[in-house]
Amino acid sequence: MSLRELVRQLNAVKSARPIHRYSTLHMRIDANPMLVAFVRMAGESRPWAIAYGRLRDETPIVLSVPDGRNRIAVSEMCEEFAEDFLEYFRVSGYTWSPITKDNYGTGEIPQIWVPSSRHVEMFHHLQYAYWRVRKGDDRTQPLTVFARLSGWIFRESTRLGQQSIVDAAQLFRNSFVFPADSTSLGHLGTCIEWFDEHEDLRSARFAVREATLLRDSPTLDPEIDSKILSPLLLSRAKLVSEDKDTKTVDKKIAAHLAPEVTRRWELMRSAHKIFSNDSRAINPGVEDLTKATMESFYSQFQRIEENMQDPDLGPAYTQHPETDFHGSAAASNYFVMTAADTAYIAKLVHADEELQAEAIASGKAFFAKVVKVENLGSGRTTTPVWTMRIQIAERLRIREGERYSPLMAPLHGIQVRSIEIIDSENLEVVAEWVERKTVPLEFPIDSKPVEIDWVGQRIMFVPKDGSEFDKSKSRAVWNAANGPGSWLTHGSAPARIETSVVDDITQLAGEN
Amino acid sequence: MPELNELGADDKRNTRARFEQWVKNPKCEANALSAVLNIKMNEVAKSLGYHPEYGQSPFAITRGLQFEGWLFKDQAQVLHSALVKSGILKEDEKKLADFRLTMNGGPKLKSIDQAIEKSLQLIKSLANDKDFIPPSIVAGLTVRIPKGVMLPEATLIIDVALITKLENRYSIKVGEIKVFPDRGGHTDPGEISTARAQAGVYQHALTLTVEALNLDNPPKVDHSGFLVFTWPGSNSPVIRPNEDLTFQSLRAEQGFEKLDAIAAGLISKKPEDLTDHFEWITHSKTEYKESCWSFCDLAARCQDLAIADDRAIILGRDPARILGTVTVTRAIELMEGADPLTDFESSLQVQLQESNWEALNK
Repeated sequence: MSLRELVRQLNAVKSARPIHRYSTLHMRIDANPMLVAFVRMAGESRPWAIAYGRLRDETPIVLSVPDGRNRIAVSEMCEEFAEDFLEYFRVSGYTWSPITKDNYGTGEIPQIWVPSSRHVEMFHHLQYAYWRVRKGDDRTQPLTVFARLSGWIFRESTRLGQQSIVDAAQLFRNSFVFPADSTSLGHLGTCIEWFDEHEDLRSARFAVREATLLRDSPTLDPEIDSKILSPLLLSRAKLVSEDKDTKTVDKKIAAHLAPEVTRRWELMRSAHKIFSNDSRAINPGVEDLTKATMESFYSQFQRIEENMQDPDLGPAYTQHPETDFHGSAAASNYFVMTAADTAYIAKLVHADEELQAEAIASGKAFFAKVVKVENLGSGRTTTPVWTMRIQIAERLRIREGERYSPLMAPLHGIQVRSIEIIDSENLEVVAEWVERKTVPLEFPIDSKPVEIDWVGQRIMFVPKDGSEFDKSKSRAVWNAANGPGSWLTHGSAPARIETSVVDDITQLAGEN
Repeated sequence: MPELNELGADDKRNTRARFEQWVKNPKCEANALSAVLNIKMNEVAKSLGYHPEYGQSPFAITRGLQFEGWLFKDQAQVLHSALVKSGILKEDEKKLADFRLTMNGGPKLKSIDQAIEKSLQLIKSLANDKDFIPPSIVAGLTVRIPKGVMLPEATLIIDVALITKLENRYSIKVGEIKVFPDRGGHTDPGEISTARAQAGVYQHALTLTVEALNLDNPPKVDHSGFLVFTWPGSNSPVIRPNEDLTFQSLRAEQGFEKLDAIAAGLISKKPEDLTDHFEWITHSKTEYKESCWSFCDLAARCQDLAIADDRAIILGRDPARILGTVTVTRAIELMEGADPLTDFESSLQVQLQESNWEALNK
């Protein structure tokens, strides 16, 4: 924990309520997202009940089965959910207007909200449950497509800056600072309760604690299980063994599950309301992050579905729920994740004062005073080089060779050529303009980098978005299939792939 | 050294659970007393008017029993095949010895004493009987640790153990069975570490038992063990073989010794006027932290005390570490420029104000 975070928490205590963490919101708040909540039987990983629906639907569609251990009943329930879910995600073959290569750049991405991280994990469990297919099976059946989409959702949820899956409790933690410990904030009801009106901090704390008693995780309160549902299931089992009708008891079970799963769903509506009423603007950088999410959706999921619908388009690859068992895929995905990591702060920092302060405090950004401007270009080329003074700070992380952008000009870029300590308080940094070097900057003065007007100006530099470099590495991994050392990097995967499962890696490599 | 019986406590509860309860917050005197006196915290919480929350769902218990039953069904066919697949057992190593009690799905044994006797018999046969053909898989190997203030004759039931032949003696490898879904690298790290810690306790207990028997050619207790989880959404076992339990076993050894020492200290400090154990725990010093909510029914009461005292722990572990004994209100005062009273407060003030520089610049 940084001291800055502690200061924020103390300020939240002073306000007796949550305060803004950043000056902008870093997540796109869709006006009408799909909200999904699960309930599962303790010890099971498949859902027992599902509540889903668009925000404006007022009430969700609630599906449940009498016994969460009955796999056939659960898969039928999941299939019903899957068809609506696939349509919402505009999955190829399940809608009249699928997201395609030609339209994914529009930024109209489906967004789902779930109450907390345990519900995100449910998508991983669902992938495990339904991803397997045998040779010859139709891989375009709703449940298997849904399993692959669930896999993408789970993987994507871990990519920094993604804009498609909203873990509502996490969104609260990322957007606000609470006068509370972080463990309690894993509960969505807790986060929401902090926004209610309370007499003082003490009464707020007690109200919040009361809110945690109502579970928001997919597992039910053991008391409900033991006092209500367990006796009902026991009597149901008895009826089944006596070959008697179970409709009455089934209805009772459904009637007890419905309010539980609906309450979890309603929490997300309350959460959405808080964010819709938030006075902060959405950070302009979110637009780029949304595009990246769309790219991920198309390249990691939809493209593969298109190929499954039409095998002539090329081999289709099904990701294993645990890993890819393939060195090149792992390397490529590693660079994709690195690119997301690099892009996140770089995209958002220009419009967010608190992020800028955080970047300064952590030494990732710095203020510099320009002391000399030169043009080292020859002939018709322009190569502006600035000599700058930077105050030495405890955590300054500036390095030779690194690239930075001036604040508010993310497309411009300098590269640090040399760093010299000139006295106990200052560094002298020589940096060459390497990107948009002839295009005028607009802030703090309107002038080209090569102009002498810059001398005496104090400018903030933030890390340059280097994600394109990582993305090109990601592509290079695949392009190296025929290059030197490919026997090592692109050899057959020592895969622990189930023999019953279609070997998609082999297909992808075109060996089958 | 006082005996536990002097305190009127018995050993009804699972020894390992009590040990793990203490390990989760060893600095909390109330927690240590609850473990030592074998008094459940939910009972203490109820006596103070709090609503305990940490019951276990009957579905989770049933699921655990069903999974274990499935693993050992038909001479442990399912478990055997998974162990062979994972490479820690050979195809022909099939023989099963089932020491589980009938109440837990076992075939014959009715009491813990019978299970312990059978288990000791097996260990002795491994050492002495040259003609003995041992089982490869043992369900419910039961041992008793013959020492301790807190744990007189602590009984531990090892979920599963494997016996394999080394050059001139046998080796016993402990395994821990959990219904946790194994999701590869995404498996809940807390669940993995819980299972490892439990296997470490069993390995330590087994080592103590074998040493206490003083056998000529004792079986070797393998330093590595294995975990049995489930494939998500099914009853198929997923084996995590070759889990190095060296440090978990060491942790158990040191933990048991430390807990014994603490138990002795606590018992010798027992106030004269507190005859009721509930009262004793209630009046003991507590050490509230966020993680208490995950295992202790008294957490709400301790949080109340922390709120009343304005302690920084209500903001979390890290703020508490940074602020030390400085209260939340005092930290805010320092941040806003109050005169520091100690060197620590001076240092804290500088740091807080530097980190709040925009506010100061306004």
